[in-house]
This record gives sequence, structure tokens and C-alpha cells, in this order.
Amino acid sequence: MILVLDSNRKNLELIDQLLSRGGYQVIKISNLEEADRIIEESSCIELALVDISGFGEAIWERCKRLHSLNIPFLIISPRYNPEIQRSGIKYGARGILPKPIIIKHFFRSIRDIIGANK
Amino acid sequence: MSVKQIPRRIFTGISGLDEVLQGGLLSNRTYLIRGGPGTGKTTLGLHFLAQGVMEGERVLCITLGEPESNIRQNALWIGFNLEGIHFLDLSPTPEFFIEVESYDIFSPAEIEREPITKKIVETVASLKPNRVFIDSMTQFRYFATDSFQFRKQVLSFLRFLVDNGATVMFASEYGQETPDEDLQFLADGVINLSYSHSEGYILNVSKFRGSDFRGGFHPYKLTEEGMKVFPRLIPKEHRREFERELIPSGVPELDALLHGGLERGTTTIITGASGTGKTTLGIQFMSEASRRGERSVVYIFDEGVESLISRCEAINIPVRSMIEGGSLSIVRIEPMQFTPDELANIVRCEVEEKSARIVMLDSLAGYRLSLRGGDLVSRLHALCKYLANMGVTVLIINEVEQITGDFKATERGISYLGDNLIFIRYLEIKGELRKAIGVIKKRLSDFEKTLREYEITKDGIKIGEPLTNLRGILTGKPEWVKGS
Repeated sequence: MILVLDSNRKNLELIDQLLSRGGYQVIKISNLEEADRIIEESSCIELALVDISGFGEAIWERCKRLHSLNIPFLIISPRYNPEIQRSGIKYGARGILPKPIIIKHFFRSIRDIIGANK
Repeated sequence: MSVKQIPRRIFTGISGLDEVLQGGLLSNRTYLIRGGPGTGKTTLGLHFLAQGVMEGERVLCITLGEPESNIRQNALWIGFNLEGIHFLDLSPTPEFFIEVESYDIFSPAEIEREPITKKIVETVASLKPNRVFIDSMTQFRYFATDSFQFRKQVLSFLRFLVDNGATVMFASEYGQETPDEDLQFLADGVINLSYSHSEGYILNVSKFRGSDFRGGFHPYKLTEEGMKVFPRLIPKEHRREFERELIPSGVPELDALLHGGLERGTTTIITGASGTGKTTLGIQFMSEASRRGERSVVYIFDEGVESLISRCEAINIPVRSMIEGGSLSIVRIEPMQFTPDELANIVRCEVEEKSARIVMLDSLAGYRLSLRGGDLVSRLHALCKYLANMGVTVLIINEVEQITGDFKATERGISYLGDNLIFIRYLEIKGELRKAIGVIKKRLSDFEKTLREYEITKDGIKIGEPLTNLRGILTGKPEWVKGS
């Protein structure tokens, strides 16, 4: 199960389509409250994709929480930014994917963490 | 599965373009149509598809910019029947704009390409088109992440279409922002369309793999009937067997002056001041041709058709019955109506389809003033050469401004155009204004070296005996030779 956190619904739809087609199960979340609930309740999250755009500084708290629960996560950043990269590493991200992400790279990064789709 | 065939010639639906392409496009190849906005790329593509429908082929129009409804509407205006043309409309829908939120996570190039590719593949697989027109390939540029990807994608797309049995025409909008050299390398043929204020619409072929083509720039027009191409006239490509016989004027004295008449396939310049009767002299040759059952055409630039008919009828040259009988055609050329190549194509039509044997241009000054574009004298030269090769006798009327005084045959440095040069000039004899006719040059035979008096009467042209007892005729003020 892959948790996707993105404030842009179009992005969520698109990632859902792609991942579903790739055989992955997806939980789509667009706000922080819901994210908190799912992170705490769900035990089968294998990976989280976190698009930090639109969430402000509060997003790093969630990253910290994911890390503490041993849920691997990838940060999706608006563009290449060393500041974001530093924060990502600091809070335990497994990788940073600057937008626009090349679809091939996107899948490779996911496979590197959780293996091929089931 | 590949259904590659040996290339054969296929028509584009525009006869002038087929001529430039030496018989049409080669099938199962790809052709790039380049041009700025409004140069007729879509019109050319529709001609190509409509021709396919006419020949019972399956044809497909893939539109990525302009919606199908617009293309259909525009086609209606130019009288195109788009029935039988299958459309694949991939232009953006209005919903695209209305959707406020858009994605930013992946490149649109990657996301949009997939559904479009799928639709194209499905359509081509089910339709198996013989002809495909893509309007325009420029849009695909935005589906590629970089130029290498674009080149690879276009190549593979074109190959997919050709392997499925199609001849492909694809448009490209080029500009400083979007150069399209890459597409020119990929295509088997490149047709360039352009527009300039001074030259109008110009077409040229810069590449045609596996075939010869007519180089240079060819004017074209976007008319109510679509695109019309006027291939630049190359005289050496046209030749017809003919007997170089003399054609008489029917006026015995004039024929004596010319030692029998004018030879077929020669160009004669008839030069003289205003009102001397140059046009009438030309029409006289046509009247005699009509009696032999031959057809002639006059292109008039300066005066109206009715005025010319009345003038000729008044001096007993029956032009009206000649026109009715089909042995004469008088065509008025309006100022700025044609380029020299368009006129050349009209003349070709008269010669090749209606068997005209004498062609008269009245006048040279009118030709130069009325036609658009530069390089007029060399275009006229080409036209005369073509007519000569086809055995047509050409008469060019040249007006000189000088009425009296020392003689000057032509004022525009165009004497070299003529094989023969006939002049008519005013003379003052004993205080009376008279006219004389003479021959200065006749390339293929000898001619009478003396002048004769020339008069236009109600019964037609009257030419006197040789003026052997006058001297200084060319000065305009001749004197009687003493003792005569």
C-alpha cells in the first residue's frame, strides 16, 4: 500500500492512475488532518509519497512521524532546491523527486524501495 | 505488419503542384509542408486527402491544433467536399481551459502523449488509411521532453504510418521560436509555402527523395476553389514539332515587305508611336490566320475588349465573327491581377489545350505595368521562348513615346526579344502627317530594305509602293530625292 499526500487533487488523480495501472494499491490524501489519522491507524503502508507543496512548514512534522514509524517516504519538491533536500534528509526521506518527475524515474524510485508491484 | 509497396506516383489534387513534382508524390513516403500562418498548409493537405477520396482511397486527417468543425467550415467556404475524409480530432477541448486546477507533478509532454498515441494507433489500425494528413506535427514537439526524444518519436510515428500503407503529409509551422530543421531531415520530401507582400504566395520544393522536381519558386493562389499552383515556365521542357512555314498577313504589299510573311515560332516586335496602328497590324495577321482556320489570342493590358472590337470592326476586320467562330480570343488583363508565371500558365492553356497559333501581347509597357513581381523582362523572355518552341508566332506591341525626330526602334532595351522588328512611324511630307512602315530585322529571311507608306482606312490596312524616291525618312522629315 502506498500513501500519497498531495494538496493538488489533479496530481493525486494522476499518481493514483499511474500507480494503480502499475499494480500498486494507493491511499490518496489531500489534507494534513486526514494524513495524521491514516498514518496512525494504518499498519500496511509500505511507502509514502509526500508532495510538500501547499502544506507549509507543518509537513516536516508528518515526515518526522513517518520516519519514527519506520515508514519509508519520498519527498516530491516543486523544483530542485538544496534547502528542501537538506530538510528532507534531516527528517529521514529516502529520496527527493523534483517536479516535473519523469515517469520512468518515478517508478524506478518506488521499485528501489518496495520492490516490483505484486 | 508492414504492407510496404513499390512507390508509385500519386496526385496531390493540385495539377500545378503535380507538374512541379514531375507527376505527383511518390506513394508510401512522407512529405513535410512548411509555412507560416495563413500560407495554405491545411488547404494543401485537404486537396491531398480529397484527391484520395476521389480515387476511392481511405484517407485520414489528424488535427492537433484546429478543431474538426473549423476545418469543415473553412473547407465549405472553398467548395471542398470533405465527405469520405475520416477525421481524428485531437485538438484541445474547451474543458481544458475551464479546468482551473491542473497537475504539475509530471511533464505534460509525458502525460498527454500517451492517450493521443493510443487514439492514433487505434484509428490507423482500424482504418488502414492510404493517405494521412497531420495538421500539424509542430504540436508533437510539445509532447517530447527534448529534441532527441522528439526526433525519435516523429521518426517512429511516420514509420508506423508508412508501414501501415499510408502516404503521409504533415504540416509544420516554423518560425524563429520553433525552427524545424529536424523535420526537414526526417521527411522524404519538403514543400515550402511562403507569402511576401511584393511576390505574393510562393511555393518551392526543397527536397524530394527518389524523384526529380522542378526547382525554383512557383507562385500560387488561394482561391475560392482552393489552392492553384502556377509552375514557373521552363521553356526547354516544352517542345512541339512544327513546320517553319511563313504566315502571310493577307495584305500583299505587307507580305512583299516581309518577303512572304512571318515565320511560325518567331517573335515579332511591332514598334511605333501612339496611334500609328500597331495593334491593327497584329490583328491583320490574326484575321488571315482565322481564314486558314487557325486560332489566335490577344492579351490586352491597356484598352478594353469592346473598344478593341469596335476599332477593328470600323476598319472592316471582322473580329466579332472571329470571336464567335472561336478563331480569336481577346483577353483583358487587369492591373496587378497576375504574376508573370500565372499569365504564362494561362497562355500555356491556350496553346496546349486550345491550339492557339498566334499570341499577341498588347502592349509591352502594359505587361510591365500590370504584372506583379520582379524580373518581368526575363519572365517575358521565357514565355516567348516557350511559344517559339511550341511553334506559336508571337507578336509584341511596343509603344515608343517619341512621335517625330530621329528614329529609335525601342526604348526599353528589349529588341533582343524579337526575331523580327517591324516599325511604323509618322512622317511629315509637304506639311501633311503620313505614316511609313518598315522592317529593321528579320532573323530567318531577307526582307525589303525600303519603307512603304502605311495607312489605315475604313477598308482596312493599305500599304503603298516602296518609298524609293524619299531620303531621310528615319529623321521624320524626309526630302524628295533630286530628279525624282
